[in-house]
Amino acid sequence: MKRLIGPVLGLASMAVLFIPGILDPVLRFLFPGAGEWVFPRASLLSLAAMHLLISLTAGATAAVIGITLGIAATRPAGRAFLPLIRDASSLAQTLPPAAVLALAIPFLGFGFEPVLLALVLYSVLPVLNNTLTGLETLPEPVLEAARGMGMSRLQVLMRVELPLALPVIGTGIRTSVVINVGTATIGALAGAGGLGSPIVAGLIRDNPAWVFQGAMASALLALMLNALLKAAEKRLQPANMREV
Amino acid sequence: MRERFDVVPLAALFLGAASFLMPFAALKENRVVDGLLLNGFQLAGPLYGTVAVLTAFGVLTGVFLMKNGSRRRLLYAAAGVVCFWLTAALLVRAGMMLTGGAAPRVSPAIGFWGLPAASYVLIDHSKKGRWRMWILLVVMLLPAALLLAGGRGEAISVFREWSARKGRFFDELIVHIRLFGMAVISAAVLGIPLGILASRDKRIGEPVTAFVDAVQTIPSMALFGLLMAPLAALSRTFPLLRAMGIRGIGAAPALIALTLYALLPIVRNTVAGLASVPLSAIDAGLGLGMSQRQLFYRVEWPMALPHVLTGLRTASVQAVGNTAVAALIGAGGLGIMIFQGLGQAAPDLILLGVIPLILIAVAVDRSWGFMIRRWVSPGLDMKGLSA
Amino acid sequence: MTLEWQNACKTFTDKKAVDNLSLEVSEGELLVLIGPSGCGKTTSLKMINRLVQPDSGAVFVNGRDVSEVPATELRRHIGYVIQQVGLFPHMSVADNVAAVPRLLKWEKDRIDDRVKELLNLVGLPADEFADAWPSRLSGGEAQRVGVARALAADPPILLMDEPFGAVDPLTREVLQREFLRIQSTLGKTVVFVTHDLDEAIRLGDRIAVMNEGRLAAVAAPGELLLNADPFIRDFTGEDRALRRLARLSVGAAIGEATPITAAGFSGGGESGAPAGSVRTDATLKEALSMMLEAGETSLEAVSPAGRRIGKLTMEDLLESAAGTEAS
Repeated sequence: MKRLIGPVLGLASMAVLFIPGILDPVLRFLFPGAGEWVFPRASLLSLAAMHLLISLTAGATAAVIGITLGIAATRPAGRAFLPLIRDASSLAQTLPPAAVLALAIPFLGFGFEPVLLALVLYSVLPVLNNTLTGLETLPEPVLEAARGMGMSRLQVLMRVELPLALPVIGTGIRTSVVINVGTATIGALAGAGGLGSPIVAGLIRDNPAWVFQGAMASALLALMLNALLKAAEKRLQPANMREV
Repeated sequence: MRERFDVVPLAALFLGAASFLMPFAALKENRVVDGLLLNGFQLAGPLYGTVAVLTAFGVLTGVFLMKNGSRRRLLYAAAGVVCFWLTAALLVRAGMMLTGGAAPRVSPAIGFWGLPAASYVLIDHSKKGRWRMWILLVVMLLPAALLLAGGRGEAISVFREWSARKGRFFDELIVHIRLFGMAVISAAVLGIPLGILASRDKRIGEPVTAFVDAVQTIPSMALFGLLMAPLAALSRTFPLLRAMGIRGIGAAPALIALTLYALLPIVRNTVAGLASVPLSAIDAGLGLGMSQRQLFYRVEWPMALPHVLTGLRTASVQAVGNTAVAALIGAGGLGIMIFQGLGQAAPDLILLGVIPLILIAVAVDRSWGFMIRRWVSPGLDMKGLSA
Repeated sequence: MTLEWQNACKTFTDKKAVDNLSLEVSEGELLVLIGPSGCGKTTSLKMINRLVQPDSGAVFVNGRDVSEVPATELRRHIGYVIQQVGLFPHMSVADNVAAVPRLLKWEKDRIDDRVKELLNLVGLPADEFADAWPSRLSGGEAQRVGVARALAADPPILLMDEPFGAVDPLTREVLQREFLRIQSTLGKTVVFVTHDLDEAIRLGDRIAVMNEGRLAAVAAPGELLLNADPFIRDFTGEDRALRRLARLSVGAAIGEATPITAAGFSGGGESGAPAGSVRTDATLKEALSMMLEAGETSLEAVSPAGRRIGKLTMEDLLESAAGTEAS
């Protein structure tokens, strides 16, 4: 029973948010003084799709960069760069995404690209950190055994190190995607659309109903992606390592 | 013993050289036009440009020839300082080359960011001992500071924007610092006891964790907006609250939202910190005759401290950035300049907001790092917490 | 200080951990509690310092019911050493040792002197180790600090819960020997939990064997190895006769009471005695081994100084193993 509460609640909220016929009376009830209720410029569903596209693209890019850097920095040739990479990525996490976005707009123009840049910069750190942790904390005897049975460096990486580090890396990817869904709302400031649009419009026009639907939809998206990726993560784990 | 070949400073040297040859600054007649992009060589002129390129070659050959590690590090430090001076000098050169216009200015381009970055890496790689670092910093920054103080930097775009609104800038800076500072303090005052309670009692722990987790999934911008409606209603209903300055827009909803946001890392890390205390230490503490209070103050709290402080660090750094967004609901702060800049398509104005924002974030991050090193017992393992 | 369990019982959820335990420990005695895992030995131990409250029955320290003494007060006067050591990682070695004296609000100078004295006692030079962090210590060093911390306020009673269980066999033997040396000078009343029979035989004045919460037997090591009860026979193993021989000295077997010395511990045959002879301070187990190796049925027994004392025959060994000659 208890396991069903989450999915049922999620589906119910999705129905309320994305079926216009239901959303309108709900908003009218919650915000009687708003004047306008359902965001008129685009359907919440298409905004959510755009939102998902931005955050997943950014998440995938951050994952590729983070994993690549993490692997490179733990190879003998790249080890010298490890402190620099750690520094750079923790600095990137220090930069507020709104600041990066604002800085990137003059260079990249309005639209998709500056948002992508800001999100990627902000979300590389969780993936990179977890990749480093995953690869650095492997038990030395396991690696020694792998080398001892004659695996090449690449084989050790592909057959032993990465599979063992995968659960930790997966957690990093999940963290970064969830962060992205929340942060992607600032994309509306750069005109990239997404669920930030009703929020920004609502803030400017002082319409709490618009803010509410954007906020709820993006929160729902973040929660659902989190649950989905958590389930996927469980699958990633080798059977004997589950429930650590 | 032969030292390992240092790839990192070498890469930084190449970055510095490349930045010199890439577009360094744009000369503009006012803040909206595109302007004329020039690289370091063009700005320096053929004579000084050639000198700079030859110096770079000299340093590179020096690196390859020098066998002595500490002497090589000295060379890195020198190269780092030169990179920084070069940045300042090129900016001033660019200012001197401005021909006129309504509001002539020098806008930094890609090369401007690359040279100081190379300088940072070079100096970071050469460090040995704290006081030497300070000398290096003074040697590096002094000429730049003198140049700016002497009025040579006024043509730089950000300074143009700054001098146009000095008073306003400092007001917003103070508003910003006060807002995020108050949010972090209230979050700490609320979050640390909540975290302690949550780790003592599961019935409190589960809903608390669920709540702070849920808050985090709501985008910061949306949270500001969502708080506007109920606060406006409260303010209408209770005149006392209105008299206290609590309204739907402005500082009140911003402060509440920022505090809620900062709660998550603090609560979560307090819980994790207390959970990280090994059972054997608790068993030993009880067995030695400590009371519950003594056990908490002498064993559990000091061992949880690195986690708690790391949580405060994360919360503070995030709060600096989130406070910028609070400008959207009229709370003020550096976000004002960023959003005005975005609205007027004036990158220089955006920079005026963003540069101090980043400096504050980095300073806050470093200060926490310093305090963590001071307050946490060196016997504790900080691995996995330093990021 | 004497200790006593009186009809102590403890049940966890549905499992009887300790079932009607009655046992006395006399002043200065080292009692070993041993048994298979889950037999209730640790639970019994924790009843003494009130980390576990008996459901019924009582525990007395010096005739006083412990449940009438405030727990913290009681524990500050009972030393406690556990297998995981439980050093506080955020405190230096010296601060760890000073933990209980600080709880008792001793003067600073007194604490400093005591810490130095104790570190030297457990074989960790204070100059070298006082300011070290626990994370830098080896397993053996950490456990020495654990023992020093337990002894800090000079408690008359010491509780040790598998203290040497997590270190390698060589270190364990060194720690056991040193602990016996310390105990011989301090004469504490000690309750020592272990699952290692050799350790129990080596250290215990008496051994209490527990099984499924009940006391199966309590006896001096030599007697325990003669016990005919099926569980005890099984627990003490096929080679219990050899274990018994390892407890007895050659001197004792030929009527010349001689304590077993260090040579007996490490099983060192390099006792310096001429071929065909055995030192009186060696164990009977060693003597047996020498007989088997030499293919003889008798050996000359010589004093550690080399003086001939008598003859050790296979009959002597058989008699000792059968227990007609008490240890």
